[in-house]
Amino acid sequence: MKKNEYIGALQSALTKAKINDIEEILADYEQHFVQKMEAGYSEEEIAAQLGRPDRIAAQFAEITPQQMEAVRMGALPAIGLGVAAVPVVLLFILGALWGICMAIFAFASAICGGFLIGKINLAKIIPTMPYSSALLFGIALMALAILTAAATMLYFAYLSHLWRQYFNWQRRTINGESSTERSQQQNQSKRTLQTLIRISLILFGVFAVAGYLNSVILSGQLEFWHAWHWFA
Amino acid sequence: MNIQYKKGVLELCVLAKLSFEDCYGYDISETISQHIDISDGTVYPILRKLKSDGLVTTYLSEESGGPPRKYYRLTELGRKEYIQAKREWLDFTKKVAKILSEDMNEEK
Repeated sequence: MKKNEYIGALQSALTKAKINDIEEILADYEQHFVQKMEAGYSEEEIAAQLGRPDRIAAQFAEITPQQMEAVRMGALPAIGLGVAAVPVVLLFILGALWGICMAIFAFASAICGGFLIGKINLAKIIPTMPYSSALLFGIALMALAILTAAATMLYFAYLSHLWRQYFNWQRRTINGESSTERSQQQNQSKRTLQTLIRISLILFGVFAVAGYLNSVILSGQLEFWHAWHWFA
Repeated sequence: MNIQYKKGVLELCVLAKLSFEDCYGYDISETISQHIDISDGTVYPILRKLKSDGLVTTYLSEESGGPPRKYYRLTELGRKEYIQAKREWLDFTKKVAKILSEDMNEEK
């Protein structure tokens, strides 16, 4: 194959594989031809050593960042998201709603914890109790808030991972491509979140129990909430 | 050699070459294909991935009259990643070699 034929074949293979910035990629291969020709190779030899254009396009397709794909998916409603995909999409929406519930729970825990610690009693939602108990329960709630928030983030990361996998699977099914595995780069932040969850879980347990024990001792009753007339 | 093996290490080889000096894509493919049997064209998808991951960057440089040519350069992040990946790889291959040699001893 001559240089121009090769570049042309590569261009159409890249276009078919829906790769971005094709001009930039082609410029790399053109430069490669020029430099190897300077080194004394013939155009045919260079083309043969480069490898088949469709294989190269497939390699570019494998490494295309996922965000770009997501954008392209959004721009192409004709992706084949047929009637069969609707329940799946609904499932993902439900999943996202659950995540939002978790986030709201985390937020509410943080606010209640803040009220307890800061002795704020807006709208009288905090029942009467000694400040030592309020402080312990407040810290427990804060830990619970962090726990839920971290869990929510992990949950959403997992959900979006599933979502991308589903889209890629759809795309591959439609385009008849072979499956490609992509490496995860967010492992670091995932581990951080998991550590955060473990620590906040322990804090929550310790402070909730401490708060309960403190209340029992101060009120002299196992069911301390009766002593302080919480539900009266 | 198994193509799956190669795929994993080519990225590391590209980073290694760039850790010595800024290169043309052509330089990198020449260096690697001297030692490993790959298609020259394989280097560019790898360079693109490294660029999109922020490990390498490119710049154009005028050369004696002709059109400007593209150089690849390792970023600070790329250098850090390379040092770590290199250490992991060397450690890994050492262990594999150990396992293989123990295996051979058993066969004897």
